[in-house]
Amino acid sequence: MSLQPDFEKLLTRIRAKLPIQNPLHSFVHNNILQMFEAKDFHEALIEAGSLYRAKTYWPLEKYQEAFSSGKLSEEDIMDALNHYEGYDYQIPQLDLLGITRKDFFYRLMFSELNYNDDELQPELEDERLWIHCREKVKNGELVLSRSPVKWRGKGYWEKHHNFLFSVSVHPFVTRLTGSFLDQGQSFWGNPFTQDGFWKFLAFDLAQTGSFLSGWQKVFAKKVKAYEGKAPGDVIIAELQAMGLPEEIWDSYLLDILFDLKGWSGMVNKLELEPWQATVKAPNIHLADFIAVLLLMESSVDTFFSEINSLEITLIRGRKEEIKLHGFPLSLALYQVTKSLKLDERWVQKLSTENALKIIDSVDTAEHRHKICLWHEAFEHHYYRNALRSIMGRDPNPKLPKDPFAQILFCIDDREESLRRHLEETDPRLLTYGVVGFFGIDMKFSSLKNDRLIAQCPPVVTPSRIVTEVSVEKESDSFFHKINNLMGITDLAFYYQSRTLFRGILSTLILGTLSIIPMFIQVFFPEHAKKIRNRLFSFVSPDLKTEIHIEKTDDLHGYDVNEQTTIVKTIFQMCGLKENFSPLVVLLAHGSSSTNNPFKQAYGCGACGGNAGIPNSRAFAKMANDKRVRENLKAAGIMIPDSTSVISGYHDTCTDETFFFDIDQLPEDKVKRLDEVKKSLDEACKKNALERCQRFSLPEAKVNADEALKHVRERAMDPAQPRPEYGHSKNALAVVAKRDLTKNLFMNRRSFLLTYDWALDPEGATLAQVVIGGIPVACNINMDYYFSLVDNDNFGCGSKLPLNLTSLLGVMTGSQGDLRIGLARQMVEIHEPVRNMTIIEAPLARVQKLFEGHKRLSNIMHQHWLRLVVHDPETNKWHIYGHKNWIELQVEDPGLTKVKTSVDVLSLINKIDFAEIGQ
Amino acid sequence: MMMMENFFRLSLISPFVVMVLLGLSFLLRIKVNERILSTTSKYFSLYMAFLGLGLFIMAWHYSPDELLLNDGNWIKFAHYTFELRFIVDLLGATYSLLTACLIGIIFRFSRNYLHREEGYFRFTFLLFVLWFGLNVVSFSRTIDLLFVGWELVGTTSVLLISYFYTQVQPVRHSVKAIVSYRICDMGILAAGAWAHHYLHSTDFTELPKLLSHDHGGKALIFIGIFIIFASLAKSGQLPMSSWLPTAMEGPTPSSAIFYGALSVHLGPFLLIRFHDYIENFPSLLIAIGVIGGLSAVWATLVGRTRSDAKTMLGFATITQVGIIWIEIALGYTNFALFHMVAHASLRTWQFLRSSSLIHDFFENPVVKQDVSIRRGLSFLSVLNPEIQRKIYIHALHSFHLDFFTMRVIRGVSYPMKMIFAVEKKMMNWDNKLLSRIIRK
Amino acid sequence: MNMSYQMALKTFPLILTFGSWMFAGKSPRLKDIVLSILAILFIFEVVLFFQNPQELTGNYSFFALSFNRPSIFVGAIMSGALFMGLFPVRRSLTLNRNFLLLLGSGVGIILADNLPTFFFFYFLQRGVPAWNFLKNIRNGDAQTGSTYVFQHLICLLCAVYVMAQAFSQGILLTPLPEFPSTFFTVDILIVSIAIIFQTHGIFPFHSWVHDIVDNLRWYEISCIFLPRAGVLLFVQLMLPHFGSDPDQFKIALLSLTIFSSIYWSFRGIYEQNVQKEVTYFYIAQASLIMAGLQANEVALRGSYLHMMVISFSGTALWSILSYIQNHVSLKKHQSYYGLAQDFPKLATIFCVFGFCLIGVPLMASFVSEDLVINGLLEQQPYLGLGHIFATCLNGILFFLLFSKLFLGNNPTRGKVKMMDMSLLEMSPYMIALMVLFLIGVMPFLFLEKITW
Repeated sequence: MSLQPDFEKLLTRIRAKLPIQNPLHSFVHNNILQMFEAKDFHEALIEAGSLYRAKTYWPLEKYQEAFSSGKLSEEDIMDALNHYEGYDYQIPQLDLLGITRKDFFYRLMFSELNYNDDELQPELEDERLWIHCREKVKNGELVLSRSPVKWRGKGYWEKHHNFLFSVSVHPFVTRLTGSFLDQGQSFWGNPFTQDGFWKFLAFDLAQTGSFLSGWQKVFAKKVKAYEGKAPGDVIIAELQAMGLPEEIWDSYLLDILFDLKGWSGMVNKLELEPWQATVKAPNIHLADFIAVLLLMESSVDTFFSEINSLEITLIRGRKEEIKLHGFPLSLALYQVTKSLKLDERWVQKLSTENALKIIDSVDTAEHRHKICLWHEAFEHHYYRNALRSIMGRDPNPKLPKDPFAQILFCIDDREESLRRHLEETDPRLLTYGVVGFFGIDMKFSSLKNDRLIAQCPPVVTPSRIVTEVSVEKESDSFFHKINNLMGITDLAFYYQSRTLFRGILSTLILGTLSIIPMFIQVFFPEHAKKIRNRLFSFVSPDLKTEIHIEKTDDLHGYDVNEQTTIVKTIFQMCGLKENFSPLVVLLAHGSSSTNNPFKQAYGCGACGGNAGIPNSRAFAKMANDKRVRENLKAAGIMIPDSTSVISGYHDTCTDETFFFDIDQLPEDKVKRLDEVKKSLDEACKKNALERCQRFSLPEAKVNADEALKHVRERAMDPAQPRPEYGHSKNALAVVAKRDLTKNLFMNRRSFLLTYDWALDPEGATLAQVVIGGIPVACNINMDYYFSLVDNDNFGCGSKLPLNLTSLLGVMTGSQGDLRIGLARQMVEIHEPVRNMTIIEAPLARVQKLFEGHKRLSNIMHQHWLRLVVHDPETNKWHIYGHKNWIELQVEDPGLTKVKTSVDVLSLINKIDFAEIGQ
Repeated sequence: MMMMENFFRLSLISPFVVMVLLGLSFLLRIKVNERILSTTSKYFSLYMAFLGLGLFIMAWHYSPDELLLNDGNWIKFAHYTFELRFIVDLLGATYSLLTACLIGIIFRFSRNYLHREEGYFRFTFLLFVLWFGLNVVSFSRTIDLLFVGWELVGTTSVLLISYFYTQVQPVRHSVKAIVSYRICDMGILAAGAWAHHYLHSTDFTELPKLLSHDHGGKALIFIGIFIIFASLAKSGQLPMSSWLPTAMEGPTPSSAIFYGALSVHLGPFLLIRFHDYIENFPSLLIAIGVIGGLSAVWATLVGRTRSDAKTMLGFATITQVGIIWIEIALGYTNFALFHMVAHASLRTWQFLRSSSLIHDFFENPVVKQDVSIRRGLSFLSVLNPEIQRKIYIHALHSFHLDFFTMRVIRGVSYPMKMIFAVEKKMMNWDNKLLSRIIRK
Repeated sequence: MNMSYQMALKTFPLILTFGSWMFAGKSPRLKDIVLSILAILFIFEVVLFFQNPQELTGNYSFFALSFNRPSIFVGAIMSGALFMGLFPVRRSLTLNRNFLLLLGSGVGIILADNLPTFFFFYFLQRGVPAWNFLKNIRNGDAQTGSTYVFQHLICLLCAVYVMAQAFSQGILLTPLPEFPSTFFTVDILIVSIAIIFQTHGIFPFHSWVHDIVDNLRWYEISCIFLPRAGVLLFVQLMLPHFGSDPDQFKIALLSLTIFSSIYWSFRGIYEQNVQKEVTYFYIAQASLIMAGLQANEVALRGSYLHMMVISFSGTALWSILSYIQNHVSLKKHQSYYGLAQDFPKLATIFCVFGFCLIGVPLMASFVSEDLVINGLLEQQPYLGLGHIFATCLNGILFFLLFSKLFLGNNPTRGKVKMMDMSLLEMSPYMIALMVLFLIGVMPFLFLEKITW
C-alpha cells in the first residue's frame, strides 16, 4: 500500500512529541521535553509552549518582584545579558534604532508595552512625543507578524458558537478510552480489549445509533463509511478528504491529540511498553486513537458548517490577525520610543513605513526575548551565589585520618542535609554519595508480594531476578497462605462493596467496622501504623528474611565475578581503595506516605521510585562474601577482614533509620554500630528540624523533638497532601570529593556525587558516576520546572479533586483528561532554576566524556543544564558558554559564618549557602 | 425533660450562631485565618458530638409522645401559622449524631487537606450552613420547617460542587445538580401547601387525622406522591440520578460528606419520617419499592463499567440507597436506619481513602502481572457473551439517561419556543407597520 | 393637615417632573441633588409609614394627590431601592432628561388619588420612551419600539374608556378607594384588568417589555417598574370589590399571571445576553406579586413583602451588573465570563441577593413565597402547583445567570485585576442584606407592620 510507509514516518514523528509518563504505580521523574533536547532550551520551550498551550516560564511579575525586592541585582542582569548575547539572535531593523543589541535587550527587559490591552487607559505624560507619534502613523495599519494561522475549526466554534469541546465532545471518547485501558479498577472488565480500540468504537456507534444526537450522528456515519479499513488508511484518507496541505499534518494531528494529552501519552506508552501496565496492557494502538479523535474533529466541523451554512475551507487555515490601527498603533509607537529611551527627534527622522517595521520587530522581540532574559537573570543570581560560595573555600578541610565508620548515602538532594548534620554530630564519620541502586540492575520479588519490581533507573534495563527468602523454611508456607488470604479479602471487599446484593452484606459488616479505622487514622495518624502492625503481628508473624543472590540460572542471581565487578565499580566510584574503616554502612533511602497517589515520586529515583532496601541488602551480602573480597584484592581494592559492610535504610519522610541482617555481627562491631546509630538518630532529629522550617507549624520550627514528631505524623496522616517536599528547590549537582562541600550549608538544593579524580586516570569511573547521576538530576530538575511554571497544563493541578482512573493515573473531577506531571502541592515552594553541575576533574577528561555521550552532549550544548569544571591540576574554574569554555575568576566568597547548622535555620529563607563550624 | 429541650435548642442554635458570625466577618472584611477556623471547628465538633450523644441517649430513654416540642409561631397571620414544632425521636437523634461525627471527622481531615487553600474559609462556612440545615431537617416536625433545612443542604451542596469555580466542568455539573434539586424541591413545597390547604397544619404526626375527612384520603395520596417526588433528587433515584456521579468535582472531603453520607441519605430519611402515614397506602409503598429497585439495578449495571474511583462510588451509593428504599417499602424502617448509618460511614471512608487505590492494588499479592484479577461472578455471566457485550455498551452510556432527559426538557420547552417565534414575527410586523406610517 | 402641607404635597411631583426637565444636564451636581432627594424622600416616608397618619386626602380638585398608606409604602420602597442602586455607581452615572421625567412622573403615579391624575402621570411616564422610539423611527436609525407604542396606545384608549364611563356616572374625581362597586360592570373589569396587566408586563400584554429591555438603561427600567402602578391601581381601586370566592374570572386572571412568570423565566433561560437575563429574571419575579394580590388575605400580605424584597434585590442585581460593566466590556456573547476572579466580594453579594429573590431559606423571600403559595393554594390547589413550578424555574434561571456571569473561566481575559468595590460604596447593599436577612430569620417582627 503506497499510503502505508509515510504514515509510519508520520506516526513516529508524532510519537516523539507525546508526553511520556508511566502509570502512577511506577511513576518516575522524566524531562517532559526529553525528545526536544536536540534543540536549545529556549527554542524547545517555544515549541512546547504552543504544543501544550502552556506558559513555559514563571509569570513576569514574579521575576520583576524578585528584582524590585532586591533579591536580583544589577550584576545578575549583566551576567544574563552577556550569556544571552551568545545566542546571535538577529533583531530586524536594529540599525534603525541606533543602539547595540545588548543595550536593546536591557531596555527591552524594563519596557512597558501594553498597547494590546484594550481595557487599560495608559497615561501619556510626554505630550509632544505623543503628538509626533500620532502624526507619524496617523492612517497606517499594521498586522503583527506573530498573529498565528489557525487550521483547526475548534477555536472558531468555541469563540463564535459557545460550543466547548471539553464539555460536548471529549467526554464521549474519554469514557470509552477509560474503560478500554482499565487495568482492573472497574468490576466489569471491558470485553472488547482484545479487538482493538477502533473496532470497539465502531461496534459502540453501531449499537447506540438511535441514541446519538447532533455531531455524533455525523460521526457515526463517517465511521460506518470507513468500515473495514485499517486506522492508518482512515487517517490518511480523512486528512486528504479534509483538504489539509501535507506539511501541516503533523502539527494538526498533534494539536488534536494534545486536547487529550494525558490519554494520548498513556495510549502511546501502553503500546510501546506493555510491561509497564499495572496488570495487563489491552490491544491498544496509537493509530486507532488518532483515527477516532480525527474523525470526531472532522464530524464536528462538518456538522457545524452545515447548520450555520459556513464554508469549512474558509475556517481551516484562517489567519487570526492581530491588527493595530488608530489609537493602539500610535500608542505602540509612543511606548516603543519611551521604553527604548529614544526621543521625538528620532521619531521625526523616521519614515512611516520604517516606524511600522520597527514596531513589528520590537513587538515580536518583546514576546520572544523579554521573559527569557528575566529567567536567565533569575538563574544567574543562584549560579553566581553558588559559584562564589564553592570556589572561594579552602579545598582541603581536615578529614578524619582513620574514620570511625564510612557511610555511603544516595546522591539525592534530600540526603545533603542529613550528611551535613551527621558529619557535624560525629566528626569521626566519613560520608560518600553513590548512585542509590548501588549498581545492582535487578528485578526484585519480596516475600510479601512476589511481583517482579525493577529496582534500577528507567534508563537501565534490569538483567537479573533476585528474590527475598525467609530463613526458616517451615513457617514460609503458612506466611504465604495468610498473605494471599489477606490479599483476596482486600480485593473482595473492594469489589463486593460496590455491587448490588453482596453490596448489602459488605456494607452492613464493613460499614459499622469502618468507623473505627476512620476515627483512628484521621484523629491519631501516628498511632494508626503501630496499632495495625501489632494487630497483623498476631495473625502472621514477621519472618526473618534474607536476600538470595546466588546465581541459579542465567535469569536468577549473580555469580561471583559479576558480584565482584558490581562491588568494584561502587567502591571505585567513591575512591575507596585501601582506607576502609572497620564499619562500612550502605544507607539506601525511600519514602513512606499514606493515601498519596504520587508516593513513587518521593521514592529513590535510582531505584525506579521504590525504596532502596533490597539493593543495599544485596550489596552488603556481596561485599561481605569472602570469595568476592579475594577477587577484589586482585583488582587492587584491599578490604581488610576486620571490615564488615552493613545495609541500612533512611526514610526521607519520617526521618527514621533501620539496619538489616545485623545478627551475625561480632561483638565490637555491634557496639560500634550502636554508636553510629546514636549519632544517626541525632542527625535525623536535626534534619527534621531543618525540614520543618518549610512547613507551617510554628512549634516544630523551634524544637527538634517536636519537629521529629510532626514529620512522622505527616507521613502517617491520610489527609496530608504534602507528606514531604521531595526534590523541591533542587538546582545544583556536585561531582567531587566530599572535601569540596564539607561544612558547607547548601539548603538541601544539591545532588552530591562522590568522585576522586586522582584514582581514575583514564576517566572510566567518571563516566559511570556522571552517566548514572547527572541525567537523573536533569530529569528531576526539568519535571519540577515544568510542573511549577504552568501547573494546569504541565502539572496535574491541585491534589484535592484528583480522581484515580483505570489504575493508571489521575483525573480532575468526574470526567476529563488523564493528568500528567506533578501536583501543585508538590512544587509550590520550588524555584525555576536549571540544574548547574560542578565537576572536579581535568577539563580534557570531562570534555571527552560529554562529547562522547549523545544525551550528555545534547544537554550540555543546548543549555538544558549549566556545566562547570574545576580542573584540580591547574586549579582553574571553567564554565561552558555557547561553543567554548569560559575561564572564571575566583572571588572572595563572603559566606555568612555560622557556629552550628541549627543556627542557620533562622535565616533559611534568605540565604542558600553558609559556612558551618568556623 | 428540661435538659433535653436545652440540649436540643443548643444543638440547633449553635451552628446557626457560628454561621452568622462567619458570614458577618466576611461581609465586614474581617480576615479569619486558617488557624482560628480549624481550632473553632475542632472544639465545635467535639461540643456538638457531646450534644448529639446526649440527645441520642434521651431519645432512647423517653417515650415518643414526650419528645414533641412546640416553640411557638415563626409566622402568624390570619388563619395561616408557621409553627416551630420539633420532634427528637430516634430517627432524628441518630441522624444528627451521625452528622456530628462525620462532619467532625471531615473538619479534622480538611485541616491538613485544605491547608494553604484560598477557598478554606468558604469550605468551612458552607459546612456550618450544611450542619445547621441537617439539624433542622433531623428534628423538624412540620413539612415547612423541614423544607428550610432541605433547601439549605441543597444550596450548600451545589456551592461546594463548584468549589473550583475557575474551571468550566465543575460549574456545569453544579448547575446540573441545582436543576435536579430545584425540580424535586417542588415536591416538598407542594406537599406542605397541600397539607396546609386540607389540614391547616403541616405537622406530620397529625397527618393520619386527615383519613377521617371525606376527601382526605385523596389529599394524603397526593401528599405521599409529592414526598416521594421530593426525595428522588436528593437520593439520586432513577429519573433524577444523572447528576450524582458527575457531582464529584469538589475536594474529596466535600464529595465524601455530601454524596457519600449526609446529603444522599436525606431522601430515605424523609420517607422514614413520613412512613407511619404512608403505610396505609400500599400503592405508595409499591411505588417506593419499584423506584428503589429500578435505580439499584440501573446503578449497579452502569457502575460496574465505570473505571474511575469517585464515579464508581457514586453509582454504588445510588445502588445502596435504592436498596434502602426497598427496605422502607417493606416496612423495616429501623433496619433501614441502621443500613443508612453503616452505609454513610463506609462510603465516607472509601471516598477519603480513594487516592491510595493504585498502591493498594499494586502491593496486593494476589494481583500479578500475568493473571487478570478475579473479579468475582456477576449475575450477568449467565447470559451468552454476545448479549453481554451489547449490555456492556449500553451500560457504558448509562442506558442513555441523559438522552431521554434532554428529550423531556426539549418537549417541555417546545410550546414556549413556539410562543417566542410567534411573538418575534408579530414584533417585526409592528415595526414595519409603524415605520411605514411614520416615514411617509 | 394645614393647607401649606397640602400645597407642598401637590406641587412636589410637578416641580420634580418639570423643574428637573428644565435644568437637566446643565449642572454637574445634578446627580448628587437627585440622590439626596431620594434619600430624604426615603427617610421621610419610612418615618411617616411607621407613624400611620390618618388619611390626607385632598379636595376633589382635578389634581388630587394624597398620602395614604399604600402610596407611602410603595414610595418608600421606590426611593430606598433607587438610592441603594444608584449610590454605589454614582461616580460613572450620567443622568439625562428621560430619567428625571420618569422619576418625577413615577412619584406622581404613587401619590395620585383619583383616576385622571393617575392616568395623567402614568401616560406621561410611559410617553417618554414612546417619544424617543418615535423620534428614532422617524429619522430612520432604529427599527425597534413600535410594539411599545402600539400597546400603550391601546392602553390609552382603555383608560379613556374607563374615565368616560366614570364621567358619565359623575364619579370621575372621587378618590380611588371610594369607587362604588356598582361601577365595576363586566366590561369595566376586563378593561381595567387589561390596563393593570399591561402596566406590569403580564402575559398577553407584555411584548412592550422586549423593546425597553434593549434600549433603556437599567435605572430607567427600574423607574418604570418600581412605582408598581398596576399594584396600586388594583389594590386601591378593585380590591375592595373583589370577592374572595374564586369565580371563573379570578381563576383566569391567576393562571395568566402565573403563566407569565413561567414565560419570563423561560425567556430568561433561553436568552444569551446577560443584561437581558437579569431584566427577565426581575420581571418574572414581579409577575409573582400580581399572582399573590388576587388570591386571599394571606397571599396579599405575602405579595406586599415580596414586592419589597424584589424592589431591593432586583435593583441591587442591576446596579452590581452596571458597576461591572463600567470596568469590563461584556459585549461578546461568551458561555462563561468568569468575573468572580476580578470581583470576589461583588460576586458573593450578587449571589446572596439572588438567594433573597429565589426563596432560599433564612432569606426574606422564603417567607413571602411561603405566604403566597399557601394563600394561593387556599383558593386553587392546582394553580398553586403552577406557582411552585414558576418559583422553581426562577431558581434555575438565577443559577444559570450567576454561573454564566461569575463562574467559569474567561480565556480571553488577561491578568486578573482586583477591581472590587470599597466597603463604603458597598454599605447600602450590606444594610439591605442585613434587613432582608433579619426579615427572613425573624418574620414575626415585621409582618404585622407591613399592612394597610
